[in-house]
Amino acid sequence: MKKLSERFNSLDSGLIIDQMSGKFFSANAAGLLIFRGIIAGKKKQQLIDSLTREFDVDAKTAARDVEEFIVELQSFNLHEN
Amino acid sequence: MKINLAVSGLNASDSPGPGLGIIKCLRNQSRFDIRIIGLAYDANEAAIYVREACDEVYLMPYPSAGIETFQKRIRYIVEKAQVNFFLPALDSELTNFLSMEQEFLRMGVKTFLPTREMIEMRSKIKLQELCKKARLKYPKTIEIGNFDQLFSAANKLGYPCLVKGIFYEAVVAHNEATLEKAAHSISSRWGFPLLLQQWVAGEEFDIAVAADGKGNILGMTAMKKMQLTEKGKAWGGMTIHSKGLFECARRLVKHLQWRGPMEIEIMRNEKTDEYYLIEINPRFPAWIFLSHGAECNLPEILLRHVYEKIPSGQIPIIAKPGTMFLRYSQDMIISMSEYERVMIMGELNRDSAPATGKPNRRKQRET
Repeated sequence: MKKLSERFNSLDSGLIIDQMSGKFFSANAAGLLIFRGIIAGKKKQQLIDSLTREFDVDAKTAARDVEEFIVELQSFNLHEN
Repeated sequence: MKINLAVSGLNASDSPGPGLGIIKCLRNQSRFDIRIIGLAYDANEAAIYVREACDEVYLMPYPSAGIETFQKRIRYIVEKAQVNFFLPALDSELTNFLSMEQEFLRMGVKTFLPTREMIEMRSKIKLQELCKKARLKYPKTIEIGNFDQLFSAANKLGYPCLVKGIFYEAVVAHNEATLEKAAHSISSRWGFPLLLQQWVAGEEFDIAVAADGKGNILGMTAMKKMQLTEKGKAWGGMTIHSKGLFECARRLVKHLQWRGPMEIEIMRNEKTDEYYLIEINPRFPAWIFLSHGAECNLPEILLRHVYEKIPSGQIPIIAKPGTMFLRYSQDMIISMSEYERVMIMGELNRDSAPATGKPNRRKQRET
């Protein structure tokens, strides 16, 4: 499988390009932070910590955001096609 | 190295020929010093008048004029323009060019085209067989020889289904009424047999390839179609990196031992994630300029193989993913004197043509 970092091109605007399927996605600033964290191989707790550090959210909200984002990410079919 | 390269497919309508895209690729490479000789069938082919495109243009007789007329004209063009490479870009003219292969060799003129057998093996009517041998999926397809077989064949496939002409055109039929209309329309232009094909719902991909004739890919640009015209032609797209698409192209090139340019159209079934071969064209596609943008300039790669003898079997050059193109149309003001030269003389040499597209005022006053 191609590395996620090679597969996706995420721009600072929040536009995420899947270079394998040709699909585009957009994320807000928090979503982009989570996405780039996942691409970088961060664990779930590290993602939560990043969110609480960068945004004005508590750990509980950040954990929910990370969970929701990961669920949404499943629909991207993160497998070789 | 200096090359006088003749290229066709200069029609630039809403379903454009590949000529202008090929020329833009060649103009944007620096390895070869190329003089472009445009070959057109009609004075209205717009790319004739794009100033930065062709250095010279020659009209050719339509294939229906017969092989001797065609060959006579080509001999004239070779001598007049000192052509040393032909890159035909239209399906319908390939066999005419192939008929001159031996003569081209004697004249020192190069081509790099698929053989007649290769072209035949990828014809619409043979694709099912080809896919079976190359272990690729192909939508269920039924060949019908007359209208009596139309509805029973469609019922076997279900609706919607595709009605395809033997050479060109494909229309989606959603019910018996649209099926009948499409079948009459297409058969009136291209005759029988017609092909009825299972509809594969999903995403459309297109692959441009240059192959070495020994089963190897020299270069490949895979693209996801992002915008389509009503005729289903790509009007925008983005290069992608997909092992699945590469594998489809690899199997086809290996099985056909393909030589030269090729376009492969693929559908991916959105439910099963399977790839289906839709069509193979024996030429570069109209969007070939994208290959240059994605650092995989396929016309240049083809010339490198021919002139610099890039060894077969080396790792192919693959387009950089994430490069996007959008097509636009443009109205061009053309010089009546240039149009006249093409229309009346059948040729245009920019070395002697007026430098601008403006009308020649002095001439106007004289008349």
